[in-house]
Amino acid sequence: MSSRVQWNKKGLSLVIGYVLLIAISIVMSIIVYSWLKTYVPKETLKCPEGTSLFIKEIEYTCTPGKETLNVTVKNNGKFSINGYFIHVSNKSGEELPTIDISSRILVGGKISGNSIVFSESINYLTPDEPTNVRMSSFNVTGYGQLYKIEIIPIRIQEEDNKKRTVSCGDAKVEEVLTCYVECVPDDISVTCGTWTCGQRVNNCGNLVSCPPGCTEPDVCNSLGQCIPPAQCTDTCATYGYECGTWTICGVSTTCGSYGGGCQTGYECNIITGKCVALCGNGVINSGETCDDGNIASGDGCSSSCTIESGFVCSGEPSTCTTVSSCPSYCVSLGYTTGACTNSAGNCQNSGGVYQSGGDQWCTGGEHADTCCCTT
Amino acid sequence: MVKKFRKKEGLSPIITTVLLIALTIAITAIVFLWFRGMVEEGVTKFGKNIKLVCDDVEFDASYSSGTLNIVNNGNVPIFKVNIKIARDGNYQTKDIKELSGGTSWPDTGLAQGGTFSGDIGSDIVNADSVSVLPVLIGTSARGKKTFICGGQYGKEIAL
Repeated sequence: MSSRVQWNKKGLSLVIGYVLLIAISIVMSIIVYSWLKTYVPKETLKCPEGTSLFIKEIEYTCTPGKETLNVTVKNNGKFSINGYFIHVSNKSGEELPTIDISSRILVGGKISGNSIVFSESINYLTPDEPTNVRMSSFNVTGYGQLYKIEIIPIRIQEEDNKKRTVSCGDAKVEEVLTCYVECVPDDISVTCGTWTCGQRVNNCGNLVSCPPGCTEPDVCNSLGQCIPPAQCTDTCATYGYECGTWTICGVSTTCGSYGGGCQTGYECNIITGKCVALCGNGVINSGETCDDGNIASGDGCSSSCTIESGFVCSGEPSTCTTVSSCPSYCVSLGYTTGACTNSAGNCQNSGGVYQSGGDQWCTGGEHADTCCCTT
Repeated sequence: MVKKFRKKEGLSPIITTVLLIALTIAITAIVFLWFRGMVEEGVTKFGKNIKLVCDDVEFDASYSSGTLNIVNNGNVPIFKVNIKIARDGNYQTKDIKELSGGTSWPDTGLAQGGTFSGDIGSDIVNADSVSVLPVLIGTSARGKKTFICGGQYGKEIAL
């Protein structure tokens, strides 16, 4: 005889159980998906590697009133380029140009936002000849002297079936600008203005004779006017001449109290008629051991144009560098600059071993307790 | 044959089912509300979590003679920048617009190729180091929200 235990099998319906389970799973999945989907990395819109732009030629004219910048770029890479962002700097030594000159374009492209595009055709500048070079000209009047230019190429690329402008920061190019001053003797009216005689200094610092000049017996006065000699009262002081021989009121006149010359240490500027100090003109004159183009002391070349202690100077204008007073054994270990100070018995690092920052050879070693050099 | 019957009385199957359903709904609601909060807090830009977008930010920053220059080289607009100034072992982070030279920062931020130049010299006197941290603007369920990219995305400028 066997005994049989009969359990009550009734409970949660299988269908309800499944429905609940599926419903919970769906709800949870939707929530988790909507949360996590933003973390799924998407392909970033960026220029392909191999995009490269090369500044082939720059012509920077900084004649006052006619400042222009002509930039010729060449596609030096493997992919076509649509245009570029262009920035310049007008501060010497500024590392990052930030002045956007795209709105100043004259020829060679058109403005699109804050960028220049070469043509209506998308990605016009192809890597292939002859369409891989493009010259653009910019009017840069009003910015003052420019020192640096930066160009960031841009491309048009597709993303989600939409065309987008892509900045190619990795293909950025920079160039230092050198100013070309166009002298204007060929356009004398700019220099002479209302003057009809005499000489004026043009924008390049050269003397320009103003036409048509005077007919005898008239002479030219300091205002560039032809007048009878009797009415001319000009002297050296009228022109501010301190030296030299000049034609004043039609008469050759020697100016200054040094017979047309200047006192010792000065020379006569034949353009301005002023005595200018020889020290600071960038040329090593008699009595000078250096001339770095300024009269400041402390930069290696003193205000009297002699080499300062601890420096060596060479060239015209002179370039001065500090002399390392470190002994050769310190120099050989990397202490190429800095002063050598006597710190015997006052060292912090152990000697005999290279210690960056100082205390070289202070204790122990061949040169124990001699000195230590600072970098 | 002896047949043993156990006592069948206990929790009714109906009550069990109701309880289970109620419990499930309650737990689901709690989890839903919890996650929804997280989803709403999440800030996105270009369909991505804004933290990931920080990876794509490309900019240059330099400092000379008191002037801070910034150029956005990349494709992510930089809404603002924060300036982290370390001084005497402490540091403070300031919005660029809080600085005297930062008032010219464009309201719409720096778009692609955008530039900024401002004199911040008086704000960083005696600073040991200065870092520029990009700030992006994204969207969340509660509207537009700014996000400061972490220090690894910033640039320390040479003083």
